[in-house]
Amino acid sequence: MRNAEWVVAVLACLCWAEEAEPELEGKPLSQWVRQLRSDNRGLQVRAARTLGAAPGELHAGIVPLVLPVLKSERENDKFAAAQVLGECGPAARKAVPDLLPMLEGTQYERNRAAAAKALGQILKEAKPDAEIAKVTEALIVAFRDKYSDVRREAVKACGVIGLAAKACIPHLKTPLAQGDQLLGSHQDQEYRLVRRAAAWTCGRMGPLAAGHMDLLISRMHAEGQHCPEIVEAIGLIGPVHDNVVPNILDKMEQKDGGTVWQTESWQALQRFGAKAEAVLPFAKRFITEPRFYGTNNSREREALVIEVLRFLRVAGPKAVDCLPQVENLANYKYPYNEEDDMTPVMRKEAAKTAAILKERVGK
Amino acid sequence: MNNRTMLTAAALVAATGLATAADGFPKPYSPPCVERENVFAFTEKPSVRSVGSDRYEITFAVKGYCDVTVGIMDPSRDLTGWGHGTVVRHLASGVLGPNAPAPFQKNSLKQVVYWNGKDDLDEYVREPGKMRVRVMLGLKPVFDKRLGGSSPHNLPGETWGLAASPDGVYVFSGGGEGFHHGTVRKFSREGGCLGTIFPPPASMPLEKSAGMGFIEHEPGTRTRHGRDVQYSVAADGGLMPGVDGVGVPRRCQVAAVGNRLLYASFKPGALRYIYTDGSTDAKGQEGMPFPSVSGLAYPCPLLAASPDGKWVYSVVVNHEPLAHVVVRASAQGDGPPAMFIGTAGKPGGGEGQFNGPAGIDCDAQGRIYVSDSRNNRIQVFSPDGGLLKAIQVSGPGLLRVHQKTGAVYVQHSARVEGRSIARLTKFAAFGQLTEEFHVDGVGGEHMALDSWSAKPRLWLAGDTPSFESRSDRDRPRQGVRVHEEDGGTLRLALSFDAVAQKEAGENYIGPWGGNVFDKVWCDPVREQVYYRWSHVFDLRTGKLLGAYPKPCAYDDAAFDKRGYMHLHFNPCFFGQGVGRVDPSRATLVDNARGRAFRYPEVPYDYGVEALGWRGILPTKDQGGAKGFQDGLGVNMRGDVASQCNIYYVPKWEDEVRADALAGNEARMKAGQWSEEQNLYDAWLRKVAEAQKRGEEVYAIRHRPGVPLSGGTVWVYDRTGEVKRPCAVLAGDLINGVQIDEDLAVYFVNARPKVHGGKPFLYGKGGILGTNARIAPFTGTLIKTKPNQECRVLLARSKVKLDPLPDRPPDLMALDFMDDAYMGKGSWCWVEGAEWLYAGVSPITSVGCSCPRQHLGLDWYKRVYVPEAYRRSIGILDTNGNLVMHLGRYGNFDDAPGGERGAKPGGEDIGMMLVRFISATDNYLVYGDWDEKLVVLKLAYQAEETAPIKAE
Repeated sequence: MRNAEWVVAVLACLCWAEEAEPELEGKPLSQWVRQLRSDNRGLQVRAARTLGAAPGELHAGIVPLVLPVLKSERENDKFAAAQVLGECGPAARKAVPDLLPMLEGTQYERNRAAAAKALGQILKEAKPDAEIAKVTEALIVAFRDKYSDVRREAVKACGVIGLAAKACIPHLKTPLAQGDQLLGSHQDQEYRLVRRAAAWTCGRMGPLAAGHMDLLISRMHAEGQHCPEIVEAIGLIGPVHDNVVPNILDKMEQKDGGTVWQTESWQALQRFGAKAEAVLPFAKRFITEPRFYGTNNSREREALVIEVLRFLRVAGPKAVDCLPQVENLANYKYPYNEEDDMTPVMRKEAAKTAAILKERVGK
Repeated sequence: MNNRTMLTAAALVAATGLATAADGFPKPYSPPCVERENVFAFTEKPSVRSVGSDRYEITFAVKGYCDVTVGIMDPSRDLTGWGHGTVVRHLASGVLGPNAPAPFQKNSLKQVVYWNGKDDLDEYVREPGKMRVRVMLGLKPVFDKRLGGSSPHNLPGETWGLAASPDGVYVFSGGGEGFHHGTVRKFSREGGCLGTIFPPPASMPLEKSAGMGFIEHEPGTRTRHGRDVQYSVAADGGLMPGVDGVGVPRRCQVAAVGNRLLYASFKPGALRYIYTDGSTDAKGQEGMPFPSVSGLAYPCPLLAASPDGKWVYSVVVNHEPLAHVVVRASAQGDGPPAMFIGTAGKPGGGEGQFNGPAGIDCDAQGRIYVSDSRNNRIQVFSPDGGLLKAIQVSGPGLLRVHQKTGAVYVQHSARVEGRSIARLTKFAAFGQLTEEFHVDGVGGEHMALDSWSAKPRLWLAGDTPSFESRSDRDRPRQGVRVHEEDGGTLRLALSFDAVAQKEAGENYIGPWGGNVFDKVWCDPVREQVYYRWSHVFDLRTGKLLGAYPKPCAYDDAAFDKRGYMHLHFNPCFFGQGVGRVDPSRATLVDNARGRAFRYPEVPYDYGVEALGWRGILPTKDQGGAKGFQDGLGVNMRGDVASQCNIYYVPKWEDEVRADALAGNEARMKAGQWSEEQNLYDAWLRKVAEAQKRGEEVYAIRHRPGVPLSGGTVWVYDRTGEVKRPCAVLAGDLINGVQIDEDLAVYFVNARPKVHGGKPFLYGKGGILGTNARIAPFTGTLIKTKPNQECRVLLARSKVKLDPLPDRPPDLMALDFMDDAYMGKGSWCWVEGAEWLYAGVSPITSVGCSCPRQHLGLDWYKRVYVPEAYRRSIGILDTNGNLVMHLGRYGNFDDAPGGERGAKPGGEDIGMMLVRFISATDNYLVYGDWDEKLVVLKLAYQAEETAPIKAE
């Protein structure tokens, strides 16, 4: 431990001695930090969880106390410390130089994964600088780690860091397609988590990740229903070529993916606005045929219909063609029993959408 | 599911030292069992005289030691209309001579048999004087009829490839559900069947099947098999390499190159071919270089040949690493395949890049057309791979180019009122590539274009592309359709389904499965047969009577002479037990698919109420790894022999778990299965729960040498009381169980019989045109001594057997047909057996026990057992004497009722792979390769009847 850190830590304790040491769940902070080094794994986990969930105003005080734990000889201590520091976010920026060797050096994949995650949390949406460039470089190396947990956390961390980690973009191709020969198998689950993280990170990079659009489209057809991050990424990158919207539409029409994926797709199309007007006939059909909602879960159905209506509001001038269907939806009377297809929120959204479309007709 | 990995491991054995001297050639039976003498004549006709109260003496004499069958017939009840009447008492049947079964006298051509005036159920016959004695010599099964239709347009399984050529159209099909055995039929361009070219016809000399496998089953006599002889015999009966349910493509666009038909498989990657006459060569069977793929996906290779026949271009659907690229391979196998256009695994929208290519073909000038589906375009390339042109098409899929006009026919999607629909568009030839016309709602998973018919004809198979959710696609599988271009549209010229349906008429039962599941059970009382757990046919007329929908998930069924049907439940998918129903009190229930029956339960007297049934036999089956427990035998009285697989072995749970899951380990490693899906573990959890409740879970008693897990057979009497617990303790797999009136049990154990210290047929398999020799895996039929325990003792057992029996082993416990496993540790001895019979096949050596085969036992105690290794059915008498091997190799056309097969009354029975056999007094029924259901009439070489004069 560097001397300066010791000084800060001692001062923090002294300060608290002067005032009153903050408590978490009835226990002083310093006691939680001691517990973070406990031999009892359960106690250690509990301490990490409690410290990690501490209110933001305590982070500045927690970080200097936990930094020494990160340098412990024991791998369990390091793991717990990395978790806490990651939860402290940017306040733990000083931990970066110590987390980097943990990401690169340890033989314990769990700790490498924890280090990657913590780095992402600490550098979340940070401005680019030399340290971030170095971290990004290390994370990119971790994209090839032997263990999928490490790969997943490294890929995700780049997304969390955001555009400052844009150097990772060309390297996302491999994790995006990793393990796809096992698609549908039990073994594929761990690979899929990496692919989902990679798609999510692509989305965070926005239009800068346009180079992956074709791969994302390909992945969407292969497993989009299981990985809503893919269509989300497509939405965030934007309709970079003419085939983006038709491919989303093709996949949506299969509707084997359930409403969560569908909901995500409509949100992606909302981002495209009028550039997604080719979807309007499908949207019209969608709100005309209640059967088409494809779910018995009323909450999911509600979310889905609301997203379609929101799409219609932004889908350009041709969306007015759907006005009669939207009005019907607003006034829809379920003919069969008490279990109404339409919730009050859905009716409200339909009415609101109808009003917007009418206004557009008036203009 | 099969476990091909296990079976094929190191199957080749060295050719050296495997001399097959004719005198040492293995016979499936062992002394004192004999074969019948083929002399069928009476030297003294049967006569009957009364020799006391209810005692009749029947005498006759014959010329040779043939098989003789004697029955007491009631002429007033003539179910068949053949004038013989119905058998009231099955008196005797067997091969005369040194091992003649009782009541025949051994080594005597003159026979005296007594009848006590009782019927088979031990009741006195009311008017014995009205009965007649029927004495039959020389069983002679002859072809009678096919059930469910025999149209060659009713293809087994699913169509997986189509290829049009100047001399006709070739349709490739294979079984569904992972059991692909590969059939190729050739059709005229009008749609008439020109014959089954693969498997090759029986008339094709073996020399023209180079690269395929064979088994020499008699000195100098070889039967054709697949190149992978293990797989061909033990598992699915597959003959086409690469088309086996493991490496098989779900679909493949077959390329016709000259007189060769090329298809691709991936695991390992190989470009294979057969010739258009069904002949083969070593290169086509071994396979030429082609990319391999790993993992579980079923990639669909689409092949297109260059017009000069030099190259085969391929795109792969459903496999990301190989997608987005056109592979070019030499059609002659010269050199490795190359990534020709695009980049594997890297989708792109630029020129010469692809995102999900889904169709490919070449025109007569060698230009390559590729459907670039997710880029919504078709790209056209020159033979050297340069981009010539691209046209916009929404979601293009399969495409074919007319070899004379250059017109391009493309399946793609189109959006109509917000809905995507299947569309087939014709584009003008390359110069223009503009749309000429389109037709909506036409398409298929396979498409071939006949460029040589007067008007272009598109051959389609499989479902029309659907843009709806899977739940909306629940409709029957579509067969081959032929659409003819006519005046700017496509006209449906022929539907294979319609042709097959018309041919079978009211007896149509849909497409043949082409898999391993469709069992056959005869009801001898009513002369009916049950097929595929549902369809009920009248054996006399061949008419489909209706359906008996499963009352529950059951594995096996059998009938007693009272007419009751006994059902062996599946312990994994339903529960433990055997139930009994009465078909004579059937009620007709509404069923959308036609007439369906429901049979009321007839509880066993001492049955227990469980599973919604009122009185079932509480059998000991322990489900888990091997859900299918296929053995159920019922004798005329109604006594039951039930196979029960036992997997609970205290102290050795982990070891047994490993044994039980042997076939699934590889699947788990490959990620096809997970621990969560593992039924065995789920069952073990049930065991733990049952034990917590204080219930006793059955475990085999630990004794030296006995297997502590695997197949056992339990015998119950007709009232439902246990007559003999664990009557058979065989371990490993048992496929098929029967029981006779003496309470002798007949069962097939998945262990080869030993012959000269090696497994039966050791070194008798091989690959045509090579010196390689293979030891095929076969099982052994065992008959137990009446009402006695039969045990298989293992040299390597959990409780050590010491000393080992001082006699040669009877069986070998082999998971792998490899010399390294054939040591003394594999030896087994059978105690309590009357005789053993080798070569029972198909049967799998290890792993999951999907139904492989089921022997039949008729009421004359004749056993009918499948012998896939020689393409026959072995017929034995109750003493294990061989009555005959019935049948010989034959493809669909060579089978009875086929183009070249036996006509009604014919004795020459061609067969491919018989699994399930069942018989009545008058008929023998079997399913062959799950593409035909054949009925043979049990005729005889000679027979005489005599009246019975009452006292």
